Amino acid sequence: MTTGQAMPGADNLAEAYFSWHDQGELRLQRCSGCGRWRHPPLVTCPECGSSDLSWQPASGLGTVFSWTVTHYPLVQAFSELLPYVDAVVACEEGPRVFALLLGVDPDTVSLDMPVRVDFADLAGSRRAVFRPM
Amino acid sequence: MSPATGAGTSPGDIACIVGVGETDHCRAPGSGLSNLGLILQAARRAVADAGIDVRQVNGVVAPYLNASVEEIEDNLGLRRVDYSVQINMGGASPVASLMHAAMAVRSGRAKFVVVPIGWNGYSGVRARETSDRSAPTTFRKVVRDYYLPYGTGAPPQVYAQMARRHMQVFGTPEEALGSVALACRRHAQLHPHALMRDRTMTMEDYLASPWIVAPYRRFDCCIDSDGGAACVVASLETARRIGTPQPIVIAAAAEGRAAPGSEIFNRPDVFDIGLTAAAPLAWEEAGLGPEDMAFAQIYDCFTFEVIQQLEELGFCARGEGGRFVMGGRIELGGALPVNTHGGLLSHAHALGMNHVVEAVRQLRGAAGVAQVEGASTGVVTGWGDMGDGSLAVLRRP
Repeated sequence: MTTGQAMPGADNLAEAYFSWHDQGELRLQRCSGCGRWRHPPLVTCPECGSSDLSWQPASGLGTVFSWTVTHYPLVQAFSELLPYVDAVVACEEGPRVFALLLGVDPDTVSLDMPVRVDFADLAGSRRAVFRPM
Repeated sequence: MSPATGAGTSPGDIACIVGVGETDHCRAPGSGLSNLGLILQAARRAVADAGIDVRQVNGVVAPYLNASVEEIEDNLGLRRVDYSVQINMGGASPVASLMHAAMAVRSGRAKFVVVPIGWNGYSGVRARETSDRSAPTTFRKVVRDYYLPYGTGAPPQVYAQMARRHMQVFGTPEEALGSVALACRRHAQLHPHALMRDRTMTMEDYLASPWIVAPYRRFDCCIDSDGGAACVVASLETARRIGTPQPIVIAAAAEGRAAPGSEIFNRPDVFDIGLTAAAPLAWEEAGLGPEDMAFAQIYDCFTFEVIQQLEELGFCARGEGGRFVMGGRIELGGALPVNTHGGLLSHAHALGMNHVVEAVRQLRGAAGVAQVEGASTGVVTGWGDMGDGSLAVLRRP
């Protein structure tokens, strides 16, 4: 399955990634040539050279690869959420995505904790986030 | 064929640092100079230290931000620039620049290469404000595009993820991070111009300092300051001709980026950084190894980055860095004194060129009460952006 749309140029790849979140979906880039999943997205596949890349639905399941707890207002738009947990989530498909971890006490996050995707309004945009399973 | 940057067999084939210079380092109320003004002042001081006329400089390695080759050329009044390049490795740029300068003088294309850096890191745009829309570097673009939508916009937020993973996987204790902060703070007490001189710190102070972005506390983070630093590179043949009293040889210099280069969390082994490949190159080229180093000046934007770089340099195995830095080993008097000026954590944030200046001071035997006795070889590193790395192995001729 493909989206029927050519992959955008490098400057718009992030926009394309997040546009799926607006629709309540987590999709990752997958190469039609070799089948490899990738994140962040690229313009051509570094493994097989194909530029036939598409956005495929991810299962939304993953585990916590690492995490931080921001206590200091380093990003103004997120001040109301302090302290908040940002996690690197290892998706079932392989790639690791960066996202907010919600619904968890920052002190109880643990390595390899299973998490599932959800969607939340963040700084005015709908974004994929993760919650403990 | 002689190695790319390491010492060859003839003096014309050996690169060395013939001059270093620093501006004052300060916080409030600020330097009173522009970014470019700091860069030029540092450059002129390094040229003066080299004992040459600025018009003898015919090579420029421009800093990655705040000044172009042309601006440096015009303001210094250079007559000609036969070699110029700008290095984009964030904080790894200054030390990576030594590699480029060394190659330029060894090829004979450049006689004297100036490598200046400087910024108003305190009074100007703060380093933590990486979320600017213009995003002039790949690092800032990736942070803006993929991390900022989730509230991570500043370097400590990005790098604390690496620290957390290391602490979880290898059992690195928080006291290990504290040991790095303490070593730098203790060394700053010995440096006449360190910004944290007279502000001592204990492990209790460290552990009581507030969280910025856990696992990083306030005292895990470098200081913001205004200032600049620079060096001048020439061949040893040139140094001898002009009578440089104490040229310091660049025995080897190397740079590296881990793959993929633009995203730090999706590497097959997440602890692979630029130094992972660059360090073995440099050790081989220098004919020296970690065991030969009298000191290490390690780019210390945050405490954990020191631990990780020591591992990738080969001072200890990956995962052992936490235990390595504890117990005073990296303090003066220990087996490997690290950041004998106080580093970015406690001396000043001159983008790591102050580490190069300190390495030269040590090898000249001019480090005063912080002198590592008999120091004849040392290593200096840079860290930037997505773990880009650079190192220079320096020695007395």
